[in-house]
Amino acid sequence: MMKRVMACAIFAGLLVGCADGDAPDFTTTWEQTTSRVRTDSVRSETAAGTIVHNRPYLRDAQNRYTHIRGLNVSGSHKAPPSERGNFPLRYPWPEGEDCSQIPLSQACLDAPKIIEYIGSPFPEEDADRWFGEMAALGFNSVRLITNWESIQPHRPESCPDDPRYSQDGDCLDLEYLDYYEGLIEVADRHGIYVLLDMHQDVFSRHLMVYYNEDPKYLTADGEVARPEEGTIEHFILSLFPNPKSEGGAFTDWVRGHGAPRWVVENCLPEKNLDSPNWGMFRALGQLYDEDGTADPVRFGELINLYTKLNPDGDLSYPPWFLYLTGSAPTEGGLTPEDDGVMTPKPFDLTETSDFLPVAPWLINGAASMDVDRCFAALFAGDEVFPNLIVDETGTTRVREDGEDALPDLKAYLQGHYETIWRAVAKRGAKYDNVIGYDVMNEPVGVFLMITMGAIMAQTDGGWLSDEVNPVRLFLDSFVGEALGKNLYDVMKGLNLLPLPEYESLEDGSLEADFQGMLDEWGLAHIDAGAVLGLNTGFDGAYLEPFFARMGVAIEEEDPNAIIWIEPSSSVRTVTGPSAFWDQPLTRPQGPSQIVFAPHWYPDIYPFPGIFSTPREFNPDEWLYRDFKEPLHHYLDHAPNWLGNAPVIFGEFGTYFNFQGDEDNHISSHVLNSYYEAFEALNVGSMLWCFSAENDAEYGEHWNHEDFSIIGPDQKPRGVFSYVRPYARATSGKQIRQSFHSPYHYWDPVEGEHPTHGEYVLEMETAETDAATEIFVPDLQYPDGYYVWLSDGAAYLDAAHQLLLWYPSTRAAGGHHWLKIAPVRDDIEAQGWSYLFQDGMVVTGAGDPSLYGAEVAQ
Amino acid sequence: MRTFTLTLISLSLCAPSALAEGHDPLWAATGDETPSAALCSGAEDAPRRLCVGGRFTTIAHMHNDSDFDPTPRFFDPNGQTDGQAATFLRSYVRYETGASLHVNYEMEVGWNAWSRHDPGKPDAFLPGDGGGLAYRHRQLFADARLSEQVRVRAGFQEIKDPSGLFLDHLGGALVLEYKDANRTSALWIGQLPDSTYEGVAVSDDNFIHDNVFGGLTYIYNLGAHQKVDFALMGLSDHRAVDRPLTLGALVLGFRHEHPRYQAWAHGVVQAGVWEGSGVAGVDQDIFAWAGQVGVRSRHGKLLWGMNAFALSPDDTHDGNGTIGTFFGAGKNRSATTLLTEDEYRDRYDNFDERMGTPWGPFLNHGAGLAVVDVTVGYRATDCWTTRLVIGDAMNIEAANALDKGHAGLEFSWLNDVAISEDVVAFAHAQLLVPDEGLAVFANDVDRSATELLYGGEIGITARF
Repeated sequence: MMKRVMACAIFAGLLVGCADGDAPDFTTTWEQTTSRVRTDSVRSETAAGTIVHNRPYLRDAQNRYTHIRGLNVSGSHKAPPSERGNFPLRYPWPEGEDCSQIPLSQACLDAPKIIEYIGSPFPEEDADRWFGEMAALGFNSVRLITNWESIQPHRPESCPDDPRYSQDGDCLDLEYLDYYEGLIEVADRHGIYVLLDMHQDVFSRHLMVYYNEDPKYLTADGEVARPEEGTIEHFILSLFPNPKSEGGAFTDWVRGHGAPRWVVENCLPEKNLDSPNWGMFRALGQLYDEDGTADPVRFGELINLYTKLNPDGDLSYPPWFLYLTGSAPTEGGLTPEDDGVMTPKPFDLTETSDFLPVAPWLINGAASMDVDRCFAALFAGDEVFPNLIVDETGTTRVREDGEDALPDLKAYLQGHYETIWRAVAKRGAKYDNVIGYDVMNEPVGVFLMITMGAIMAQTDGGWLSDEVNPVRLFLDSFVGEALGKNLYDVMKGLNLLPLPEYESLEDGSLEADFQGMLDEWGLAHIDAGAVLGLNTGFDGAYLEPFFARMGVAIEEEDPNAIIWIEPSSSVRTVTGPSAFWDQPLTRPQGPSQIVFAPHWYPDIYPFPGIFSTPREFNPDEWLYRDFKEPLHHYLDHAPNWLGNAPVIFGEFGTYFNFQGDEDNHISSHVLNSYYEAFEALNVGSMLWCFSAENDAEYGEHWNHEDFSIIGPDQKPRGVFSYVRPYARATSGKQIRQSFHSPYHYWDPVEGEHPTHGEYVLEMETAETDAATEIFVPDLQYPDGYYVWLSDGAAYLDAAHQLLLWYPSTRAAGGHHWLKIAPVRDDIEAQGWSYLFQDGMVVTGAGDPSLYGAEVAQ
Repeated sequence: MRTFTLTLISLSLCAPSALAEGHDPLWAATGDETPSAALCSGAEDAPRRLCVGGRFTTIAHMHNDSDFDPTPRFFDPNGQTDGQAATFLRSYVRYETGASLHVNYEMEVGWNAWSRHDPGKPDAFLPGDGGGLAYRHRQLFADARLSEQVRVRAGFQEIKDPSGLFLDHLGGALVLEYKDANRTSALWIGQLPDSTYEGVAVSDDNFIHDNVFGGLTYIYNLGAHQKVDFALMGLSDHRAVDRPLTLGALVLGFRHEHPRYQAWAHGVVQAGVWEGSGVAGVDQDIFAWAGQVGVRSRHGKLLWGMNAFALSPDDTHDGNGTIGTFFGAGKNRSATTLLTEDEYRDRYDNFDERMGTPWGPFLNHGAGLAVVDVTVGYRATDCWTTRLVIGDAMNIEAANALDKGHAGLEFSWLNDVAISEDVVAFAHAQLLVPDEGLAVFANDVDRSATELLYGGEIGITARF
């Protein structure tokens, strides 16, 4: 009313002239572009009482529907700065020491164990640049990766006397937490939501194995020969260091990420992580004796394995085998001692992990008993290792009488996991752009190896041959006798299974140190029944309570917290839901707000080789794919099991180093297909990944992964697939959106023009006066673009490439739509409401609803 | 061709009395005015009588192009040329109960004969309709004379401010008018429709939203031919939910109306607020203006005239809390036939409308608009009048038209032939030299296209 009075007063005094004004108040809209987001629910009062239904949406403080178009930041976090460039040491090399050789020298092993994650994903001084870049590319959110080791790098019971670390018994890295919090603040300035992600991959980077990226051997005439990629010999030779004449070193490693070393020590108490052989492929420790002589039994198993896997091969010993056994004839002065294979010294199983250096590192989630044991300790340590406790010094040992107060493995580990989450949530609670807390990345729910180990332990050595041992029987029953035998032989050859060494006694009987074997394998205190239970109901029985505990703790620190959860990588990942025995992840009870955030990587890990090069695609495999149907598999989980929680894909992505794809066309086609499916299904997504540090050879510096949208030249690559218009926030419930990038396949239709560059957004009746925000990238519209509207006005915040749409109609059951199309010189644009070009706006038809027009979409 | 032939024949058969002084408008017949009832069932003082009248117009036009770029339209089956032949009947019925009460009804039937006028528009002749024969209500109101000076009009009727720049619509209104020898004043209150074309289609209800207007008009007679116009009008429009528009307009003007000499000068200032309509939902204050000056004269057989009008632009920041765009009726007194509304029948294809943005019953020009025209004419015979119109248009705020200021230059050669006292045939030749300031709004592909647009229209209009 006051406005009207003022207007009348001005009117009375105004005779001629026109007024000019300042630029619109885009500051306010930009400040509101992020706000505390919440999940949504509706309450119904019925005769039966109040019924609460969760709605599968995120809403912001302006009551808009929030749509997540995010990035994982970053892949290179998995290789912390204190490790970078220090291969094969996980810490900085001591000054003046050469630590390139394995086994590591004592001086290298004695190096201060400096663990530094500050600067990862990027130095604080670069945060403005990189978050600005992400915002310019259109991403409105990041999944900001951190991990247990970043926050609590040192064992709480032996915390360094350093003000950097909290001295309250938790030993939290306060400087790192300040750095991490600083990133949240900078992201907020760039209009970016932050999901705080406690990342891990197959548990810890301290579970690792070295390998050789360029396997080679010496032929009889002393020439260096290289096995063909993809062959069995390539696989086997990759497990060995270079020949002595080539430096005798490994060149790379496969490792996990997440938990600090002291946690691994708790999970695997028999292991010696200070061993100079830590990281050597486990089988290498049994291949040679002290003087480098090849063990005929082990090599016999190896050649048997080779023969099984390569049945069409020549029956004679191949030259690479002769090289490895040191039995190759020598010419020209070459001797195995001086120029042959770098033979590892014998070492025990406890001196390394059982990791396999396979390119799809995730296989270790299924094939590594060490990984199994670590997850079993964290999630079910009280049941699987009921006799183990952690004492006051942080040592895992067998519980003794009177030690009931000491925590079991689960209580100890989950207690500290809760501590780090509380520390993070305290920081996150301060920032409105924190969109949630991702409790654990890709928890592993496959317990195949530990199950077989537990079965072994349960039998108490009551078997004598490969044919009747329980693992073999277990495999036979699952996959059939023929394949079971092959699998068994492979496991045996790779030393993946605890197989006792039998000795013949004088009386002809066989004897083995069965208990010693169990101790060596960490299976002495395992409860086989509990382990079997892990396989059948991990998500429901162990993961869900874990999410509930962490979620409640986080919510206590941040009452507005949204807890993001995902299922484990388990048999269910492959089989899907099963009506008979399925115990899926259901909604954790306790946390108020839940988001379901599964990961989705179709087709990226096809070959289980060591350092297998990324897949070579025929472009036709990708050009016409429609991923909507497979995505439904994930989308159905939320309403079926999780109380209708919002679904946002926490990870998806593809390689950028496909063979022969220098222009990234295949990667771009792949990503475009993904985004088209996400858009069609109204589902949010977070792309893996952004990494400021990308290397042409080593990708994100971790396991050769090369997914980053930032290339080695530090510039975005494949941009036309993911820099695309989308609605960041809608004032009404989104019905659909679609964008046809240059990678979209357009099937010509007579009389219709190609839809490349067209973006369409439809939504139901606006529920708030706040703007619907649409990111419209200059990249896709270099010559400007037209906007058609069902109703309302649209304004361009050019600085942020944001189109702000204010629908003007509010009819119940209404339907708003907006279309954007590029300015092109071969297609007419008719009836448009606005034309935006070169920072200028031309108003055409304006708001059709203001003059009663119905405009065809 | 047939109509053209008929026109030529009519030149030789024309009636000398058709354009006799005092009988015709100053220059020529126009087709877009409400016809006066020509035939009544009784004398003027009869207690009851029924009067009817009307206008019948058949018009055909053809232009080489509509967007200054003759390349074939990529996917438009209708091609690039622009033309139409159509017939309209506008009739008027008035039932009079003595002098105290007149009930009036006016309607129009129009026929889209062939082609679409502008391939870029759904159907320029029949906006809002499905095509084919259109039947529109134009006016339906009662006019009650309460005394010698006071009358009341109620119903759907012409609503016009003295300048016609702000309000020149058909809408529902209650008008209380006082008129004496020196002045005519009126109080208005009513509702403007959601959109105004040439009436309301029978099947339409375009009073969906609350759009109330009211005000006072005052016309003071300075002398026999001079008038001072004053109006203070305002409206409250609620078509945008929760974002009402409140707008006031002050009209000041002067008119000289002589049978051989006319002059006018009007200025309109608008102020108001469109609540919650800007970025971040801020209120947008409206400060806008419009002005028009013109003159027409006839000296013997020589006719001449000029008109200039300007509509204020918005500033260069859309949605910033200030609106400078004039909310106008889309009507003016320019003699141009391409740049502004054709005098015979509004086809909604005149370029000032194509450059504007509809806002309810109004037209906004974000870039503003200024049109100047000069006319020179000659009455060649008693029944043939020929005129040359040169008009020029420009965007006032070029930044709101992709930095293109000049819109175009029009040359029109207009010929009217009176066939009888009530029948006029016409043949017009038109040429437009467009500039990029016009192509920005008119060309859907190349907004720098400037190729010539030419064509003409022929037709016949009859009053009865």
